[in-house]
Formats: sequence, C-alpha cells, structure tokens
Amino acid sequence: MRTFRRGEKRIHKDYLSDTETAFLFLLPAFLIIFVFQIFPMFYALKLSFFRWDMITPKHFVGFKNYLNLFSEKEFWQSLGNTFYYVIVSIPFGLGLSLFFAILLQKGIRMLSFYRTAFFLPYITSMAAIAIVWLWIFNPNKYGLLNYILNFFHIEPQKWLQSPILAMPAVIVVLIWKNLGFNIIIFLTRLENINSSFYESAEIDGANKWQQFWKITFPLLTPTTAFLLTMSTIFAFQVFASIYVLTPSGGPKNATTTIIFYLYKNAYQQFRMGYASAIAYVTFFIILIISLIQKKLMKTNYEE
Amino acid sequence: MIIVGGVAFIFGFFQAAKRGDKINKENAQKNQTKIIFWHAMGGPLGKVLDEMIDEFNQTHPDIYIVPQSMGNYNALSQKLLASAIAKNQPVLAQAYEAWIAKFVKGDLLLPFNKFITNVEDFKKDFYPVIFEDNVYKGKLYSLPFNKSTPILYYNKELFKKSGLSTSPPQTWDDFLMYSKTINKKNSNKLGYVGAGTVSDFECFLVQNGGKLLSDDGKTILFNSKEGAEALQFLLDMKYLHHVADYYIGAGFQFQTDFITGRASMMIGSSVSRIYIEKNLMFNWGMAPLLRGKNKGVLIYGTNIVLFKNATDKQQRAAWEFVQWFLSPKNQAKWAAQTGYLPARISSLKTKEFQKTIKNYPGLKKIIMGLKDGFVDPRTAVWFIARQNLEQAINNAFLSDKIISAYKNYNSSLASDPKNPKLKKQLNTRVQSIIKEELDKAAKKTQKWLE
Amino acid sequence: MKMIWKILLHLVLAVFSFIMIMPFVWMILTSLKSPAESIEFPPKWIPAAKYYVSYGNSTEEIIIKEKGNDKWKGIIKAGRNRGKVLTIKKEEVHKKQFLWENYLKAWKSAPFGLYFFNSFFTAVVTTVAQLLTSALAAYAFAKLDFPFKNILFVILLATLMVPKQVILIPNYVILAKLGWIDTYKALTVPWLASVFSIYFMRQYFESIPKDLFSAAKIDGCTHWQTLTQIVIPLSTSVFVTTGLFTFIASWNSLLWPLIVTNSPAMRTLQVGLTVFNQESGTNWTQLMAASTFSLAPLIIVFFLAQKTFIEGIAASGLKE
Repeated sequence: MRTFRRGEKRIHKDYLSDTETAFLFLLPAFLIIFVFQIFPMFYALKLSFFRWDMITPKHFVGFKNYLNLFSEKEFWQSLGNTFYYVIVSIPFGLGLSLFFAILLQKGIRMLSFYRTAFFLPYITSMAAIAIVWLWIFNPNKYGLLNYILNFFHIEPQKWLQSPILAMPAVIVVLIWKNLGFNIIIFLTRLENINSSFYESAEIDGANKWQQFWKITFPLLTPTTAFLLTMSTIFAFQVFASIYVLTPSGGPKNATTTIIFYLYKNAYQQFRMGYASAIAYVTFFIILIISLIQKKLMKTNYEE
Repeated sequence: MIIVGGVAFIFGFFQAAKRGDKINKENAQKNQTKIIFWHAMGGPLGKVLDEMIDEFNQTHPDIYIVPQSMGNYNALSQKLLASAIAKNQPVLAQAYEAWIAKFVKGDLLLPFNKFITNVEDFKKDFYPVIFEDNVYKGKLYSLPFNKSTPILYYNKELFKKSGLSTSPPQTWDDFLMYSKTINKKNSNKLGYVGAGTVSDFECFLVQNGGKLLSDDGKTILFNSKEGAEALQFLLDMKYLHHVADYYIGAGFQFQTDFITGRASMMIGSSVSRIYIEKNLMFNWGMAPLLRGKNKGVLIYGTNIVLFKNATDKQQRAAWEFVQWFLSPKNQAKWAAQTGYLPARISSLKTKEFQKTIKNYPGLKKIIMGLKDGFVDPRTAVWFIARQNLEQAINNAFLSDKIISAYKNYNSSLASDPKNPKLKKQLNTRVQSIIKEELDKAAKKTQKWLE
Repeated sequence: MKMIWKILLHLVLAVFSFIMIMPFVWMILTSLKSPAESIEFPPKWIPAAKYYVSYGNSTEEIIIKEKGNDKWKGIIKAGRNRGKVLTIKKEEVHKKQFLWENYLKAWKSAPFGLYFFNSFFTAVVTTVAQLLTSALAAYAFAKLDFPFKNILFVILLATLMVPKQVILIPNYVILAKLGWIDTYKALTVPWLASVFSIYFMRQYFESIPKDLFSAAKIDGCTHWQTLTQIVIPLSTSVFVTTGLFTFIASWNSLLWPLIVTNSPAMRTLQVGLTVFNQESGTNWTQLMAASTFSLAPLIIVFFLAQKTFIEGIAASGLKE
C-alpha cells in the first residue's frame, strides 16, 4: 500500500511506482524483441568470430574475419557505394517529402486522390514495378528517358549499365519509392499544429514564408530529427530494391551496397561467419553516424 | 458501407479458411508414406511437375508426394541452408551441384546406391556427362532432375528471305557468314542478339579449345588466349562487323529482339521455347550450338537429392518416385512439355518423344549433342567464379577502351584499307584488354580455391 | 486561399502525381494486354484491338486480312498453327482490346483466396498487436522514469542497426525448435512488436504537453488511465499512421513468409506472386494482374486511413 506523495491530500491507493509500471508496460514488447531480435543479434555477433558454411561444423577464427574484411577491395567499394547512396538520397528524399507534405495539407479539393497518388509507389511491390523502371532506363534509343533526350539532341545514355549513371538512376527510383512514407510522417505532424498559431501570426503580419520558418519548421524539428535518424539507418541497409534493378550488383559493382555484399557472402558463397562480421562493421558505422547526427542536432536546436 | 464490407470480408475468410483446412486434410492420409519434395519450379514448368506428381500419387496409392515450391533458386538455397541448420529438412529436394557438394561434405545426403543393385547397368542408359555429374566420392549422391542446355534459335523466314538455306549455321564461320548476309540484305536487321552471359562465354570458350578449370581442380583456366579469342569473336560481331547487338545485364530483354524479328538468331535455354513459342510470329527452328575447334555445350539445371534423416520407409518411397520420374517414358513426357532434356538415352525411342521430334525437328540433333556436353565445376567456388566472370564479361562488353580500339581500327581502315597490320593490331589490343579483365576474375576466384 | 495559388497548387500536384503513379498505370494496362503485347519493345501503353477465333481446342489470335459481308478471312498470328488462313463467319470472331480474363487466369493459377486470407490474417494480427505493445512501450519511454531507461532504448535502436539478413537464420532455428515452422505463429509472433513503431510513437508522445500529465497525476490517475484516457485519444493520427505502416509492411513482406512457411496452405500473397516470376521467364500479364489485385486492399486501407488526416484532429485546446 503506497501513499500518494504529491499534492495536498493523502490518498491511500494502490499505485505502482514509475519503475514498476515501466516494467509492466515494457514487458510485452521486450519479450518479443528480445527473443526475435536481440538474442539473434548476439548470436550473429558470436558467429562473426567463426568460420561457418552453415553445413559443416563451425570453427573459431578470432578476429580473422574482420581483418580479412578490411583488406578486401570489394568491401571498401561497397562501403563507398553505400555512403554515396546515403549522402545523396537522404537530403533529396527528405527535402522533397517535406515540400510535398506541405502542399498536401488541407486547403484544396481532391486531396485524397493526390495523397493516394504520392503514396502508391511506397506500397507497390518492387518486383512488379521494376520492369517499368527498366524500360524507362533502357539503354537503347527506345527507353523512355533516351527517347525524351532525343528531342534535346542528346545521345542515348546507358543508365543502369553505365558505371557512372547506375547509382544515380537507382537513387532516383528509391527516392520515388520512399517519398510517400516520409510525406505521411510529416503530414501526421503538420496536421496537428494548431491552426491558431498561424492565425495569430497572420494577424501579426507574417507572410507564408515567415510562417513556415518561424512556426512550422521549428515545430517539425522532432519529426525531422526522427526521420533523419530512421532514414539514415534504413538507407545504410538498402538492398532488396537494388537487387531487383541490378541483380548483378551493377556495372563494375557500381550499385553493390554493403548489404548486397553481405548477401552475396552469406547466401551465395556460404560464408556466414564473414557475413556476420560485415553486419557488425555496418552496425558500428551506423551507430557512430547516428550518434554524430544526434550531437549535431542537439547543438543546433534546443530539445 | 463499412459493415457490408466487413461482413463480406468475414464471409470470404471463412470460405478461404475452409479451403485451407481441406488442403491441409488432403495431406494427412493414414497408411501413406508422405514425402515432402522442395523445388523451385513455378509457372508453366511447375504446372507440369504438379501434374506428373499427381499422376504418380494416383498410381502409387501408398505413397504421397507433396511438392512445395520455394518460388526461385535463391529462396530454395536459403531454405535448404536454414533447414540443414535447424535439422528439419524435407525428404527430397532439387539442388545445384555446388550445393550438393556442400551437402555431401556435411554428410546430409543418402546416396542412391543403396537402392541400385548394379550401378554399371543402371548407368548405361544415361548420357555419361549427366551421369558423372551426380557422382561424388564414387557414390551416386544425386540424380538428374531438370537438365537443359543453351541452343540456337533461328528465324527460318529471315534466312530464306536473305537467300540463305533454312538449315542453321554449324560453325563459327557459318555463324558469321549468315549474320553478315542477313544484315547485308536487310539493313535494319541483325544476325545475332545476345546477352553476353557467362554460359554463352563458357560455351564459346570450350568450343575454341579452352577449359574452365584444371583437372585437379586447383587452377583457373578460363583466362587463357582461347578465352580472349572467344570473347573477341562476340565483340567483333558487334563492333567490327555490326551484325550483332548485346543487352548486357538486362535479363531476358535480348529475347525480344529475336521475337520481333529484329535479329535472326539468338542463343537461349532449351526451356525458353516454352515461354517464347506462343509469341513467335514466323517460321523458326532450334539447333545445337556451334562448333569451333571443338564442340562444346554447357549442361545446366539441377539434380534431385535424398536427405539422410528420412525414415527407411520414406527413403524407399522417395526412390520409387525418383525411379518413376527417370523412366524413359516419363522423361520423354517431361522433356516434351517443359523443354528440359530427357536424361535417359532410350527416351528418344519412345512414341511420345517421336511425336515431339516431329513438331520440333531440331530437337533430335540437340539431344544427340548431349554427348559433347560439359558441366560447370561442382564446387561452391564456381558460384563466385561465375560472378567474377560476369563482371569481367560485362566490363569487356562495355569497355570504353575496347570500343575506341574498334573505332580507331575502322577509321584507320578507311584511309588505309589494304594494311594487314591493322587487323593484327586490333586483335592484340582487344585481346589484351579482355585478358586483363579475365585475369582479374581468375585471380579473384583463385583465392577461394586455396 | 487565393484562387491563383489554388490553381498553381493543383497544377504542381497533378504533374507530380502523374509521375508518381505512371508505373502503376503501366502495371494495370499491362495486366490487360496479351502476352505478345506485354513484351513488345518499344512498348505500347494501351493494348490494341485484337481478334480471336476458336480453333481446335483453343482460342487463337488472328490478323484480319479481308472483311467480307458475312465471312472474314484471317491468319493465325503465332504458335503451332502460325500462318494458317481461316475463313470464318463474322459472328464467330471476337474482338477484344482489354483482356480482363487475365485477372481470372491469374487468380486461378494458385490458391489466391487462401493467400489473401493468410496475408490479411497476418497483417491484422500484427497490426493490432504492434499498436498495443508499441503504445505501452512508447509511453514508458516518453513519460516514465526508470533505471536503465536510456540504455534500454539504445539497445532497441541497436536492433534496427544490425542488418536483418544475419538474423534470418537464427530466427529460423528458434522457430524450428519451437515447432512453429509452417504455422500462423511463425508468421505473426516475431512481429507482434516493432522498434520502429515504439520509436515513432515515443517521438509523438513526447510532444504532448507536460501540463496534461501533471493535471492527470493531480487528479489521481494511474499511468494506465493516463495512457488510455488522455494520450491515446490525442494520438489518433499517430495510431492510424503506425497501423497503416505496420499493415503495409506485413502485407508486402516476402522473404520472411517464404522462409518460415512451406505448404501452400500457409503461403501469403507475396509468396504466391513469385509463381509468375521464374528463372526461365516471366508471365508478365498475369504477374501484373496478380500484383494489381494484391495491391488493391492496401490502397483501400490507405484511402480510409488518410481520411483521418483530412478530418483533422480536434484542437487540443492548449497553449504551447
């Protein structure tokens, strides 16, 4: 029997402390996450110190996997490709999403249709859509993009088969695909900004641009921070969509990302231990970048 | 409206759930030995397999084969690995030689020798290359399941229109000559369209007298002069003679050029027939691959394996099925409906197959060509080898250095047409660039062999 | 809003909407083509009018050569009987442009009714469960104080940073040991909680003004009451969004159901779609048809969900 501490009255109610409540509230989620995420994660960590082809017994090799990793050219190349992907796709992706989210707020008719249109790429399966993009990026003169370029008297480009253009092409497809996701998250937040803020600002004489910077953008900061963190974590692990567009990893490995490299090692070359090491190196990189992001965001904005 | 939708949904679910129960119940019959068979065949090929398995189940009431498709080979590989670790494998599964080699190493499989009294007799009716492909450490750890080879598809009408015989080319020289003629007589048509695949390269390499791997399995040999020459032959077709085009890294897109009649010939799997013949609007034929210095045709596809942890009853039932599937009559049926090649030599003599040969006359020569076939080295390393080779071939086909070498040659030739040195210079230059790429691939692969 | 801005807005949105949905429009149009049309290059957008007659046991497409008064002459276009000239009565020629039967054929080519049920069941169970577990956990992280709070949250985030591909095999082994392979449990249980959902909700809960919580506490509410009576009603849009994402992720997941199920009775839609896409070739028209009807429920779910955004949330009546 606890006594209620705050306030003037003393009520004898059976309150649980914060910690006890937290324990109960966290239990369901943590149970699932522990068994199916955390535990396997540690198992994979253990595996990274072994050599294992999944069929014959594993044997311990210490840090050898990690050392081999750092001396493999393909590893560094795929890491570079991944950084390229992250650095380009995130600013463009988030910027465009915010732009469209603002446009898709209340105020005009047919909003449901427009929102559905923007969300459609996110929910469509890559397998069905890839063929269309392969036609858009087709390297001969009938591919849609080359066909358009023709009108501007520009030579047909090799797109997904050009070592230089392959990654940008893939980035375009992935931004297109993920736009809807980011837009919805921004919209969720935008919709909840009390319109009285804008009204009073308007009365004070602020124009739309000022309203955006002084009211909308600051209030969106937590959402932007959230999306930035999440998008970075997901972007570093991009693989499945790229695999559909360029199953061979791109010309001169141009679109082989770090997870693509991991997949090849684990499931095509049966090097599960080595693949686990790749996973953990990736993990540390993502962790460090997330921490840096958090620090930067803290210094720029007040919590 | 929501209520109506909700009711409709709920009704639909119970219907679906009932159907699910029914399917589940079908699998639970008493006194039947249930065999789970994992494969990766879907679409029309999967349908044929399902029908044949149905037929087996009907005629063998004490056995119940349950085929489970894993969608594609990547997924099948992951499932087999996962089940090997979790020790809940099926009884039978489709598998590539490289996987089988691994399974043998891990002692997961039961050799079929257990059921065969006289292996020498059994062996006689199989094409030697295909049979040996299933022997590991002296035992028969697998049996052929769906074997196919690349073949030459050609447009008889376009040949005729260009004044060529409607018999297909047989040698590299014929191939080039036909292509040049087609292109000459029809300026917007090509002789050949290809995708620059690893399988294509391996065939041309072997036809040119080259080898993939040394006999002791220790040295990569595809980065030889024969390999460079083979690849140059293909590059020449496009950049020198302008009678071919390639769709590098673009899956089956190259087939469209053949289907629309833009190119008179293509090399594709014997199974592709099932997918494209409905769309071919001209008189067409199938033929075995070309002959260079040698004949060489890659036999690919999977074999079928039996897992050790099956019960004794299951093992025998599985053997019943495999035996049945490999009978000359059933192999003929399988081949006729799927484009796979019959593993039994005597399938050729069955009535069923005679009819098929009537419909597809080129098939006879193709099957007889199986005796000149070769298979990929049966090591998991070959998976990496193929990926490295693919990189090398792609790099060669898209190489700016090579393209400008041809450009320079063509312009030099224009101003100095009688100079014999120019061609030699071109060959040297192109082959050295190709060799560089092949060497890189070989080096990357060689590391794994140690 | 001023008229000119409205028009401009419509213009910009219309143009970009078109770019966004163009591949989808292509998908639908291709699902209505004949197999020959689906692989044409350069591709046509709209299927052309095609003529069909019954010949032998099947229907063949013909090219019309002559249109007489009551008899037409046509040539069979492709396949075994390619080139055969037929003279048929005008009434026996069927003209079709959009092949709606592709949808029926696709539906029949595998037990899609069953797959639909499995996908829907998995998605609903997963969504409801995730909303519950995430709301509880997010509340705890957002509003409660307890030891190791930050460490626990970091561990959760860490699970997002480890590539899933190396988790696959250990998960499979765990499920196999539990005997759950090829059951609904394998499809749903691992997804009853999600770190992403927790993080997303926490981020939202944190923005709810502290005054509300202080007021609740003074009134003597337990955390459970605060959660259910105050936080949740204020968070409808977040719940809808999270539910939406969870549903979509579950509906579209391919690798997981593929790995943990074997028999057709347990397969989901996405796994069913792989039947059209084979190593040796793809049946484009049926794949597009099947992809379209697999996509339809998601569109409906989204359309319903986003209506909540338009209706808006009643102002919370607070001053920030």
